[in-house]
Amino acid sequence: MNPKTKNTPSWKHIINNNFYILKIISKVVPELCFMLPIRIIVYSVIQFITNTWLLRYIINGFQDGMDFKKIILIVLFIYLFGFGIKQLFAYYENVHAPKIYLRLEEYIQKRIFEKNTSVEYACYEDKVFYDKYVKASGDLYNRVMGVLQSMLSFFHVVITLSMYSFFVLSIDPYLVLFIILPVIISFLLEKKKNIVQHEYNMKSQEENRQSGYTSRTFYLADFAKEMRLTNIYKVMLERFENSAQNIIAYIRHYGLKLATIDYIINESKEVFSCMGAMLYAAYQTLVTGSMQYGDCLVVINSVQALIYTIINVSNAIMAFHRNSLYIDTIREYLDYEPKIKDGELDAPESGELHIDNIRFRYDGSDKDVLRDVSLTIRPGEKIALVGHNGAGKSTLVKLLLRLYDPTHGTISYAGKNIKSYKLAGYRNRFGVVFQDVRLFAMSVKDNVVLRRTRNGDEKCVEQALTDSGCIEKIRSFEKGIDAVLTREFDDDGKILSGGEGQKIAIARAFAKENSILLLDEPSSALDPIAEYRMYETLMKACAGKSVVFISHRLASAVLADRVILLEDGEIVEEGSHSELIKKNGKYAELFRIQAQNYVTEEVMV
Amino acid sequence: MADKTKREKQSVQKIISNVLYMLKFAAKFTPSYIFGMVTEGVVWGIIHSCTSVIFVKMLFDSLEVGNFRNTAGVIGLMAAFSLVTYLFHVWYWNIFNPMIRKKLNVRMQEVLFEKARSMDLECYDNPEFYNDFVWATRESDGRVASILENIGKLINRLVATFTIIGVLLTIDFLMVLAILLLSAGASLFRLWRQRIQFNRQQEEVAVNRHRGYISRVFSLPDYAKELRISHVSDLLTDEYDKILTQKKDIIHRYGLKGMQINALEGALHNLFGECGITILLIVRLFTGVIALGDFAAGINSIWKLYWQINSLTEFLIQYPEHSLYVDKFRKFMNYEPKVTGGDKTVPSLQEIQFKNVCFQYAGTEKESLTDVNLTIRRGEKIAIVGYNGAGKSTFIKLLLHLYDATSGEIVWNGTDIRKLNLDEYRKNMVALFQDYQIFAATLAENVLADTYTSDMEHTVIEALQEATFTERLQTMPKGIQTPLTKEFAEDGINLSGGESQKVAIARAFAQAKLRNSDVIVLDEPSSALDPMAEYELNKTILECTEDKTVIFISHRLSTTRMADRIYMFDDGRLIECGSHNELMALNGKYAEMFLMQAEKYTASIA
Repeated sequence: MNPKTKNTPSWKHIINNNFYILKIISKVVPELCFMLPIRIIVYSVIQFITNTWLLRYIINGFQDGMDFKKIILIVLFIYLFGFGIKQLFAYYENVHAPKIYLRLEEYIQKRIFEKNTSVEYACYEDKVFYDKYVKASGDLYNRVMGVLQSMLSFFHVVITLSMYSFFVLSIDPYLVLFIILPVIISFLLEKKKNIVQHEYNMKSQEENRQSGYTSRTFYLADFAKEMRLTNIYKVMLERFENSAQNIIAYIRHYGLKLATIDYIINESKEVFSCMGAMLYAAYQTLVTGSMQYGDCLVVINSVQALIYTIINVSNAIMAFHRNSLYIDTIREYLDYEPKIKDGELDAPESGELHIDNIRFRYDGSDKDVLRDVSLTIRPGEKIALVGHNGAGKSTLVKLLLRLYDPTHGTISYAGKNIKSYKLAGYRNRFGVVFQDVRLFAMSVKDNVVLRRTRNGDEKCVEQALTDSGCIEKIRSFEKGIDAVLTREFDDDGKILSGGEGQKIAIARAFAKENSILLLDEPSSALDPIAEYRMYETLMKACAGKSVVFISHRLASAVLADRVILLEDGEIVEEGSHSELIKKNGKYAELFRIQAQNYVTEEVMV
Repeated sequence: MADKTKREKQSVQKIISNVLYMLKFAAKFTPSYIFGMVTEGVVWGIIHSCTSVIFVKMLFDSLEVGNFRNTAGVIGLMAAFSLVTYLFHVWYWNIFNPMIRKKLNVRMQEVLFEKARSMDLECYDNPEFYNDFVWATRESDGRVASILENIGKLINRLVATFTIIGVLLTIDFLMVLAILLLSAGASLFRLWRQRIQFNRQQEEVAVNRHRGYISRVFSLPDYAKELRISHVSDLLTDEYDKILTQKKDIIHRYGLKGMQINALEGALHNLFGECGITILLIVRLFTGVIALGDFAAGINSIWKLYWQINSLTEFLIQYPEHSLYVDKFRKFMNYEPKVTGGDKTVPSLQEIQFKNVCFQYAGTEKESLTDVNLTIRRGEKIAIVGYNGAGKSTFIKLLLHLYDATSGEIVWNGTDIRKLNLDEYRKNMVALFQDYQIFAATLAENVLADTYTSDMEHTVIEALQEATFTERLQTMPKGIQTPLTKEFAEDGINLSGGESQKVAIARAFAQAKLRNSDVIVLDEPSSALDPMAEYELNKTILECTEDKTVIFISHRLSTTRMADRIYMFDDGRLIECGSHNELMALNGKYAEMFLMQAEKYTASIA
């Protein structure tokens, strides 16, 4: 948390932040930084001439008895000229500029993609960090455009305001006072209003999030059964109404403040400036006679136009402020140094994994998840990690993958600390199947290789799918391995069941050459026969590979060369299945409990 | 979802009927909203026109007469008018409107919630219906209010337009006619632009969906692991580049069209409009038809009137879209649930019978259950086994009367369950599903699946104990009042898979006790548990449900040995039935499945 964002940020800070974004824009698409201001200047000048200057010219001309044909010619010329200039900009506005924006979007999105993949995995598990940074980063392009927009509209106001000021000055210098004052009031009050608005948004956002959740429980299919069969809907409804009540209370509280500020800002513009200026002009014309009648009409006519412009300045200022808060967050995120650092060496194709006396504790937790764990995984070895839920099995897998670094101790691969290897290359040595399989909205082939496809991939993919036991399903698709999965954006996309998805994930691991397989309970969604077949083929297909698999169905542990029993973060027993059964310790006890129900008389006979 | 919906043509009649339909809800829930909205529309419409046109005209008139006191009086009146009306305006928009809007939204959502709960589960299997429904519910937060406010703005514009026209008519009839013509022309352009915009959006839908998906993959925690351990990010970046190319093409094509419209619109607007009307007024001024004050007032008002009429059409064109939403909304409100049950009370269970029950999900070509016949008696412990997709879960859903059987009947103590009161019937059953949900509520509420009162404490703790959750409970400082998930509370606890399952099991136990249900249905209750916990769970299930009927689905056959009877399903048919020993003796599919699972255990012990 940055303390700066908590207090009211200074103007310097706000300007600094907005310029930070402007710098990005000028770096990526520099032409935007001069084309847009030029366009604004040209448009503002045309607007000023046609709206104000021309009126004064006509009225003065009328009073001086000018020939009206000449006036009409001037009017015609000015409008035609204005029209012509606008057409010159048409191509830029409609075709060229949108493409430039697209380039900006590309740059920003890719930078975010890169950042999101380079920050360590822990950032995704830390909900506060995730919500504050990772989630927020998705909005960066819109915010950059927002900054650009508010800067442009601010620029527009400055240009217009200065043109009008000079114009009004030439009529009567005192009139400027009527313009300056509301600008100052706006400046002071808008900031205040913004703070109130922000406070209100923060509070109601939380409530909105909550009522969003409760309303989802009512309409999403996941909750449908429980909402029908139990009374939990009453609890949800109560929560929903609670949030609504809280929001209404916030509106009442903050609404009054906002209304007051709004009222003052507006009336200072309308009554003080607008009507004040009119009264002053009327006085100077009718009483002192120092202002011409025509000028007076012009002042009255243009003062309102001016007011509308001033309203824009407050919007722009508000936007600067609002964007600044967001930019604080995004700068912190972009400057965030991933804790899992890249090494320099290339990871060799094979080697021994050696875990040396490691200890690990999650951030913010007060308990070690792993304690004094030492383990060596030799190439080609099959290792089963077993133990209760929460014993630290999955954490160990995450440490091997360097999704986390151990708090103490080292893990080495082929004799070197894994921290010294290039991260991507090191991780690429592993084929991993997690419990929560995610399929991508891409072709089956892409889903299996998970990289850019190369020549000869088809064979490899087919083999991997055959080994994982879902080739038949895939062949039943018209496009075979080129069929697109999920209906994300292809209405003909194929939807796979949980078990089939898991098989695809297993195929992923098979398709990687020379890899060490890590399997985090891949069989949980499979029925017994499918599970049996999977393990059978798995061991056959991985003859030369190292395999580390987690399971709480101990039957599969039998297939391993070595069984590691974890309890409460420590390795309590280690050895082959038969050794451990002979030892008659904890593993043997666990195994018996599971086997008990199967070992019936019929089977034994 | 909204972008997927196709727009149908909406007739004017239908639009009006739809808008009125929604207005009725507003009138029922928040009548003061309608009143406030109309008042604001009129008041603000008048201020706009008064200050911008009437007062300016009065001002110019008095200036021409040359009396400063009169002029000052007009300005004073303007100021007073502004001070009063704006007071109403800020109150309305900062306080009254947001509050009443929220109230209306809440009521509307509750109407839909109520409806949603009564909808048949079948509706969730129909993706089209479901997507529309989700869209309608999501949009219900705000849609009625938008429709209402649109009407308010329409009133405002109409009042303003007529007032301004009235004032301008006193200056010059020809000018008003010119402006009206101009506005009509501008509206045509607007429609044209709208159509092109619509086509463009249609083309962009697919592209944007794709782009959104890629962004999500890069930012959702679900994909974070995969992105780190594979090179899938390269693939996704390539896809992203492809999308950008498509997008560039769309921009180019539509940009060129936009240019054409710009040129034509500009010609109408700048040359015919601005320039033409100014020249018209100049001619009138110089020929003495209108006075200088009128000339200034005229110039001042042209653009205001033009703007008003333009925005009038802007609001009007939103109605077809609103109406489309109302269509969907009405569809749900008019939906009649098919699974309704009857009005007979539900007696205590003696036996429940499936007679030739067949079931086919809507939109599928194959029956999920075929000719199922079975009888379950009070107090029996029944196991349902079979491979994935054999029809086990469907059987349970029919039993719970979440669906009606396609043919055949399910009979409770001799009465067809369709004749029994649905709520009462479902209360007589407790179900724990494979995809159970942990709700963002306290632990106690999650166990009770109901509002918690302090006299329930014992029930909750006992149920948690039976589900072997006590040890974990002791680590929670707030005990059974601990909020689960971080949805509502910063200090909320996210349970692990195994822990969640225990809470879900406790829920089933507590419910069975509180409702005194006869039947407990457990769909894979121990899938996320480790062997020890599973063993303990099985023991408790047997102990605490002595007199109740328990039906459990499992594909770990070790648990089926405790059942009185096992039903083996295969491909929607009931193929084997009997106790474990009987089925082993039968040496059919069950025995095959059992032996396969047992093999590794027995082999390694022997």
